[in-house]
This record gives sequence, structure tokens and C-alpha cells, in this order.
Amino acid sequence: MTWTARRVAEALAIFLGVLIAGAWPWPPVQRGFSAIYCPIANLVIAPQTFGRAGHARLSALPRIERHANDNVTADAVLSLSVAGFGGDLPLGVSVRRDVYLPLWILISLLIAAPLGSARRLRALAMGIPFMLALNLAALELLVTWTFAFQLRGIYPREGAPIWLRAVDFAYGAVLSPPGNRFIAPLAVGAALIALFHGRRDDVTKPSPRSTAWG
Amino acid sequence: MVRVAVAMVLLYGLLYFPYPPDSLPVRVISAYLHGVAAVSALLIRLFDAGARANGDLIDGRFSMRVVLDCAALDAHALLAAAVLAFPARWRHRIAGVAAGTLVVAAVNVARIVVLYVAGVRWPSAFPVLHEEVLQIAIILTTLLVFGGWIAMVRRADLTAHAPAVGQ
Repeated sequence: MTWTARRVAEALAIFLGVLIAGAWPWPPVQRGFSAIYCPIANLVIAPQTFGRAGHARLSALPRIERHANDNVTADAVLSLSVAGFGGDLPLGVSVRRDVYLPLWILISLLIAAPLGSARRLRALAMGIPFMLALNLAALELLVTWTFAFQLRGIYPREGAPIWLRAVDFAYGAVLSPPGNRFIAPLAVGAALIALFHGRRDDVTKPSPRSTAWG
Repeated sequence: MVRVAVAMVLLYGLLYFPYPPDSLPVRVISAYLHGVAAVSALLIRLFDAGARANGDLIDGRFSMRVVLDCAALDAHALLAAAVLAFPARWRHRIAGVAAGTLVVAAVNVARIVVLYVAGVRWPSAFPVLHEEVLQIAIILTTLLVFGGWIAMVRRADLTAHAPAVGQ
């Protein structure tokens, strides 16, 4: 396919149109997505024990709110607790910003991409679970880093093993840069477009009628 | 794609490595943040004559601190990785990184000015602008800059290889 200026403009317009329509901050959509995502995330993080008796649980909030100590407008709360100790440490989390928007960026990109319907569906079927897995890995990293570097006694800080230092570096390089959560879906989308755009498996096989009989 | 990913990993390692305090990279990044705050404050004075920068703090009718996450280093790394990994002549790549870095830095300063103005006039819009809209905008702008650079490189190559016409 030749990328003329008109085609680029059309694809860009579709991408931005779909992105804006889906990313518009409608509170019911935000709360609804958070209510669906939190139980899925808990399947991964809730059964785990982090370090010495650390536990985490993500719960959807009934109201979107911003507390004085939060860096984000939260639609969910990540509760960190330690077995044997009462109470927990609540951290406000924006599931919309961290999960919903990256997913929607990927979906918008694949809808605007120059792919046939079958390939587009296959790209979406691969891309959405992959992005969800990336987001769950990011949540796992957040929980591990918070237990290791914001609380005492969960992970050994003195003479920290190399993997814990790697967690600290990964937190600084992957979770802290705010653009990463939007670069990731664009990179995943570009990889999927490159993967499916070059494939020939959608080409219709010639039917017997069209075969030359010689 | 693989070359872009490798370049991104290298640049991120360089930019976000937990350097010791007072080491040269930390001082360079800190000086850059102060510069971003100073230039932003200069432009903010168009809207608020009392705004001034003090180190990485912009103060006036609204206060903002320009921290590492506000420097758009991720966008800079993305652009540099994409341009350096693209199969083009090295002089085009170096010019692309230099010009693109300036454009992304200018867009980031514009982002900070918009955030300040929003903080003063539309405080309820500040969180969504800060956390979502302008973050997405700066990444998309970076990709548009990359696309524009590719178009310019292609045009330059076509011009260089065009057959001579006339005498």
C-alpha cells in the first residue's frame, strides 16, 4: 500500500477520532472499567505474598477522588498490608490512566491501521491480552517496589540482592516516566501492524473455477 | 522495530540509571530542569507578570515544580531512538535528533505554560490535562515530528538522486 499524504491524513483522523471518543473522561465509564479490572488484577496480586508477609489488593472506588497525598485522580485504591499487623497502606491508583487509556490507544491505532478486517481482528485479539499482561506486570512491579523501598522489614534493604536493585531501576525507568504508559501501546500496535501487514495468509485461494484448464 | 527497541533501552538506561547524588549526570539533568523552569517562567509572564522561576520551582499565582517526570525525557528518548535506528544517512540522523530535540523541548515548555494557565484559570481541568491529555499529546507530537523527519529525508534523497535536466 502506498502512503499518500491523503491516506496518512485519513488514518490520523480515524485514530484521533476513535481515541477522543473512547478516551473522553466520562465518570461512569471510568468507574465501570475500574470495577471490571480490579477483580482481574486481584487474581494475580491478591494470592501472592510479597517478601516477608506483604499482601496487596486492588479495589475499585465508588467515587473518583483525589486525596492530598495522591499523585493521581484515583478510581481505585491499592491496599498494602502485612500479615500480623493491623491496618493497611492505601495508595490511590488511576486505572483509567494506567490501563484503560493505554488499551484504548492500542485499539484506536489498530482500527486506523491499514489492515483487512480479519487481520485487524487477529491483531486486536493478540494486542489486548498482551497489553493487559503488560499492565499487570507493571502493577506487580509497583507493589514489589513499594514494599521494598517505601516500607521497612518486608524485603531486606541492607545488602539488597541484585534483583531488588533491578526492581528499583525498573521502577525508575519503566513506571516513573509518565510517557511510557502511552508509548507502550503505540509500540505494541506498531509491532502488530508490521506483523500482520506483511502476512499473506488472508489472500484468497484461487477457486477451482478460476483455474486454467489448459 | 528491533533497532528502535534496542536504542530505547540504551537511552533509557542512560537517562534513568539511579546515579549517585552529585554525580555529573544528576547535575546535568538538574541543570536542564532548572533551564526548563526558567524558560517556562519567561513565557508564563505573558499571562502572569509576577511569575518567576527559582531553581526548578515556578512560582506566581500558581506553583509548579519541574521534576524529572516533567522533562519529557521519555519523549526525547523515543524520538532519538526512532531517528537513530531509521535507515538514513548519518548527517540526516544527527540533524533529525538535534532539530527534533529542540522541537520536543519547545513543545514540553508549551505544555508547562498551558498547565500553569490551567492551574490559574481552570483548576478543575488541571489533573486531566496534567495526567492524561498533555502526556498523550507530547508523545503523539513526537511521533508526528518523526514522521515529518522521514518525509523530509525521503524528499532530500529523491532530490539528490533525481536525473539532471537541461544542459
